Amino acid sequence: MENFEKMLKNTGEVGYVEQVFHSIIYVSGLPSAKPREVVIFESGGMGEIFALGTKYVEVLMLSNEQIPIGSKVARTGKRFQIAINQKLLGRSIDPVEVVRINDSETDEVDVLQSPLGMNYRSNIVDQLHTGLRLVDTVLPLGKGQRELVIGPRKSGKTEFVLHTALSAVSSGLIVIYAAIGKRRDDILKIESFVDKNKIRDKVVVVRTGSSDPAGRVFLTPYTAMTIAENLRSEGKDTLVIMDDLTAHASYYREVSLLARRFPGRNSYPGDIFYVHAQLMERAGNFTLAGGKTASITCLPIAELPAGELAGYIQTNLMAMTDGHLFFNADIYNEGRRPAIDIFLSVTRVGRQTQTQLLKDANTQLTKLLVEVDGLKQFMQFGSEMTEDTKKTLKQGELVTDFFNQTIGKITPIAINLFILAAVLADFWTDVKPELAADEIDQIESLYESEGKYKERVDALLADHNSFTALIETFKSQGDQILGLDRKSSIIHNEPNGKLQ
Amino acid sequence: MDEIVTSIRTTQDRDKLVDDIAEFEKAQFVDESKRQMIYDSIDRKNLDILNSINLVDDPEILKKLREKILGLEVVIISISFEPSERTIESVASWVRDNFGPDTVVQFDIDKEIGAGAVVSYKGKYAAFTVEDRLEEYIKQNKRHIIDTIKKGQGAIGLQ
Repeated sequence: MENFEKMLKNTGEVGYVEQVFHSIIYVSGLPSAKPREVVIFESGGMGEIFALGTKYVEVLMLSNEQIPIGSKVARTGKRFQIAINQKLLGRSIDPVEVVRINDSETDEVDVLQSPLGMNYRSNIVDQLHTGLRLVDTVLPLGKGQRELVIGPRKSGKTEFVLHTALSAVSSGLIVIYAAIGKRRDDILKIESFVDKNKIRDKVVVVRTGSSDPAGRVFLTPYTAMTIAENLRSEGKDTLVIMDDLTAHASYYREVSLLARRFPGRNSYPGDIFYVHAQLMERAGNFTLAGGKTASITCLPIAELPAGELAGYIQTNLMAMTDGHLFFNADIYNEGRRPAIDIFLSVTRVGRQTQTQLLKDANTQLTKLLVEVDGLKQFMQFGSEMTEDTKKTLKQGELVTDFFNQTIGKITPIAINLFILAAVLADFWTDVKPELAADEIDQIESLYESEGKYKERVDALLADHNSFTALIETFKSQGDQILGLDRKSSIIHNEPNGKLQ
Repeated sequence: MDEIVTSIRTTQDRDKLVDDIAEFEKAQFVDESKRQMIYDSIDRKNLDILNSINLVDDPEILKKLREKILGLEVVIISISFEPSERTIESVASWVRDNFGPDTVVQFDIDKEIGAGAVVSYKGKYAAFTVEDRLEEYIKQNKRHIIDTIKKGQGAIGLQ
């Protein structure tokens, strides 16, 4: 109330609530109001100016308070700003709560900023390690990339982004998770994952619930992006997860329809593309003063009703991101994790961050998987298979099994490459799948636990620029390189520390 | 019509006149006995005003009058007490002199205003309260007040 009186005196303007229409409030007065300016009500509630009319100012409610007709309204002279300081790290906040955190170390930052221009942008050159074999090898992501995570409900999208968050934190990134209009249950799941994996101090959760005012939900991703931008200016790499933008679009549609804006396709307002594109443009890889770079990687999530890829918001988001990972419910129900359909997924800038060897491996693996997919369709006609076809199918099966991974287990890129080369060198083509899986597990655990083994694997990969050459090396010296004893499955350690 | 508008001092007067115009209009279409009953419910002063209007020359005049009355700009005066007739008269006259003839006063009783008034007009807000003046005085003379209290010099005169 004291703050309200102060604002009235500072601006010398007052408004009166004339109509309340769900989360839109019509206010008379406030002659110098500006679009997007924050106003406060005498009850202490907060709103944002949504539109200016000849008779009334339209205000979008950001608080849960009930506003009576005739209440006084004061301008603040400011757009929606959040208070950013180091204390935000490790916290779970809602957008309006950030405004209320107030101390001397706090910088107030406008959440609706324009994206930085081309002069501040640099090429995406570093790979974002997701810790997932399939993504890191075949659909790589770069630091600063905007990759849409798209799929129907219950197809493992949130599991994927949480896994990526875990891996990103272990690579030194700070994660900002925007939970947009989520159920309380879902927010608790996200928070318990963060706590369970002990990454709380490197994560900020910006959350709004499904019962929060639509205006507050609308501001959630902007708040998350603003926090990321602030960290970027300190030279820190961040990962922003937006869960999810289809819900965000629905809340914006609700507000726009209530404000009697002309509805467009699927009743979404005409500026929905602009609203999301402006948000996406705030991510990227940026050059800071002194020539250093800092990135904001963005993983927006989009839900697909009934697996239909051609939805309005979904295709909009595809158009404004650098690729998409398509999660398939059928793959998920088959028990494969992550349930990414590689044939419908795209990564536009991720490949440029891969080494020559990885790029080569990526091309060969994609070619193999496409070939296997084609063969599987052909097999349905009951045709007899040649030995080569059988071998290709077996290799495809092994690669697919290898890509099937427990969520939460981070695997290094080098060991993925090492094992995949062995797979394509037919090291496991003639053995039982259980034995193959067992041996692959042994190699992975050895790589993680035995320093010498790791050094040798890394040195072998460093010696090869071509994946074909690596496969040839495996073909000629596979047993020796892998150091496995088939009968006993005991690992041989070379005393001289050299594999070849 | 201007005379009628000038006779409206507050939003209460305005609302009553608008209601009375509606009743007066209704009375034109009923028989003599019922008309008298309706006239009895209309404020005497308003009835005199309305009876003086020539409805034959301009059948739309009541509609125009209502529009004119409803279009008056409202000046909201917040005070801490119920205003007397004399106060209403002098404030309404002051408002007309300062904000123009097409204005009407709305008194808003706010007990939190100690003494003085808060005026708002077309969204502009100005507080003329003793509390504000005291606050301003204290802000400007903080040092002097503290020194005076420390020296025990007694009462501090307002400058």
